[in-house]
Amino acid sequence: MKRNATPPVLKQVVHIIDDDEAVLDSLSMLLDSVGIKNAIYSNAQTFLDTHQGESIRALAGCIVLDVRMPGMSGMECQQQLEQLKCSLPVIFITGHGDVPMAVEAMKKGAIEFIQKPFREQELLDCIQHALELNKAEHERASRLLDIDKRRKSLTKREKEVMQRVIAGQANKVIACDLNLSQRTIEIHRSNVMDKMQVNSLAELVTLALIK
Amino acid sequence: MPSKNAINSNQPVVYIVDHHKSVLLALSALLAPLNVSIKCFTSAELFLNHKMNNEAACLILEAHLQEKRESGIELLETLVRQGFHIPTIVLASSSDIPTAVRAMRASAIDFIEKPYIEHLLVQKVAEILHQSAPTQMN
Repeated sequence: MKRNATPPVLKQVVHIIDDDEAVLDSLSMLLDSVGIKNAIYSNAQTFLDTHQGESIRALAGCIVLDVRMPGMSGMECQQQLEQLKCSLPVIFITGHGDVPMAVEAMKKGAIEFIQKPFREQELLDCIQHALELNKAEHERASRLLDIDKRRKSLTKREKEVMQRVIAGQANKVIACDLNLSQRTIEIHRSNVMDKMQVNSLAELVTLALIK
Repeated sequence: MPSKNAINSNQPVVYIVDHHKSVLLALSALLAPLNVSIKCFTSAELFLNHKMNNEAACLILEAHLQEKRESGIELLETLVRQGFHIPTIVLASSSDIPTAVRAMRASAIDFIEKPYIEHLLVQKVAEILHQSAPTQMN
């Protein structure tokens, strides 16, 4: 894979895992032709080894996974990914699937289970959908991280004031509760608004409710 | 439609939608020992017109109602679109992978091909009711 680009742009890669080289080549060419970055692996273990440890959780994109492969099967790989808390959406492709297998894969969170032979457009649509899901998930995660950072920048006193402000208490009441002057509360309150990067009480409450 | 009215409003309800009356009867008899109220419907329309309460519930749905392909799954998708989430087991008189995948994407809890294995289905329904209302089931 290439060197790190600017962090804000999500670098999504479609990881294709299949023991059939012809499938890998044709899918890779298909994705290249529409400008979607992709990486190919001839078995599941290679994929897991390539992205060991923390890095697997940081990946963006999706996985196209063959069900039946020598060594680790697609289903076993899906289980491993779950244990590693990898959030990449999984699309299964299979030449020999049956209904119970498809149901099992979907229960475990696969977003699609496609039978070979499939139309190229069908797979491309699924991949696009998977990439959108993944993008939304990354945005959600980074927003949470950002809010958490803001929360952590508050002092203990500011947190106390924020809790009371959110609960709808007036400055006067908070001042009395914390045994501080009303002026001091006003300053804390204004710091809270600055650090949480909000302009109104409504915004502050909304942020406080996000978990 | 034949339906046994709930005596106790807290009694969990199993809704069954299938156009074959024989299936409705067989399933009702199979699930009777669970001590649930069973309500049967022969079409998607009848089910959609039924007013539901807040009880613990489970829906058992035939994938192809009135022999119309995937019409049962369309019903499930309608429910989801309307923001109505009821734990659903889809039973399929005929099935293939795309139908199963569509049902699971429409948030079915399980997709089971007919003929179903009786004790496994009962177990599944009991599990669902237990999870959707742990306080009401003992």
